[in-house]
Amino acid sequence: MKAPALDTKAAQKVYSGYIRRVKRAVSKLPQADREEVLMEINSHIYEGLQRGEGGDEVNTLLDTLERLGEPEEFLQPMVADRKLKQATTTFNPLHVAQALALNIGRGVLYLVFAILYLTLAVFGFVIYSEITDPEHTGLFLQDGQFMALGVVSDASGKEEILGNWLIPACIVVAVLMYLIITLLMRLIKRE
Amino acid sequence: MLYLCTMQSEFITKWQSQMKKGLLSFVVLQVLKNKELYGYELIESVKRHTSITIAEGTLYPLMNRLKKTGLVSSKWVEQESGIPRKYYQLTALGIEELNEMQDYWEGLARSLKTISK
Repeated sequence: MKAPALDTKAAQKVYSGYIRRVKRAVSKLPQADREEVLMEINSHIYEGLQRGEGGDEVNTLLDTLERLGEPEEFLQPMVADRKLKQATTTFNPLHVAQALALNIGRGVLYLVFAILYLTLAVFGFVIYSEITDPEHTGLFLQDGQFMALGVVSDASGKEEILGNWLIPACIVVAVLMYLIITLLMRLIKRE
Repeated sequence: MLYLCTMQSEFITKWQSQMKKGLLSFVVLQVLKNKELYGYELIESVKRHTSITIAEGTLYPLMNRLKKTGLVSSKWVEQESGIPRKYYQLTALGIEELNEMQDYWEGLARSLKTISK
């Protein structure tokens, strides 16, 4: 990428500082997109400099950059979109967490998804308590009807039906729910 | 009374800026209707028509999105300066969608007129 010709050290410094911020802001995008954004911003800066009315180079540059805005802010939607795509195609929990963090400011929808994912923590809690307090943990029936999944204070008179299958069952259900929620997020984001 | 007036104008300013933001992609497509433009030119044109006050940089992610939805296409054109320009133009789908947006907009304007009578 060719940088615009700048006469003063000060302008060069401002320019490379800004380009560095752009590079950092798009570092999570795929290579081709990164290059594309960088070249386009570079071109924008060049065109802005060309239109400067003969005044001070540094001032024209600063003015152009100010009108462009903060790269971390205006490039955020691209990064957020990209993360969301990554999250819903790889199903990687790390990407899902990052995608939620980046998108949560964009509407109530992602807040709902975050809450859905958080409900999965219930299964983690049940597994933990099955290990530490197996007597009071399980899927309990009372008089043949569903009573509770989780921890009960008094297990007498209730029938625990899962036994040693509780932990595997929790894991299977949690994974299934995770897949369903993530798939749902993929479908909804496409709109 | 004075208090009421400032309240109202603040409300309207907010309303106007929301309107402009909401209409941004419509304006961008409209500006590209007759002519392909490169980024800087496109922004100048949008600003001239809407006096919008967003950071100019926000136009680039928007163009990226329009490209991904297939409404615009782009090509790099080499320049003598050695710094190429990226030109945007409407695709056939873009023209189609723009016409639909135009119809919707006109319908909306008509019904608003009927209400205000």
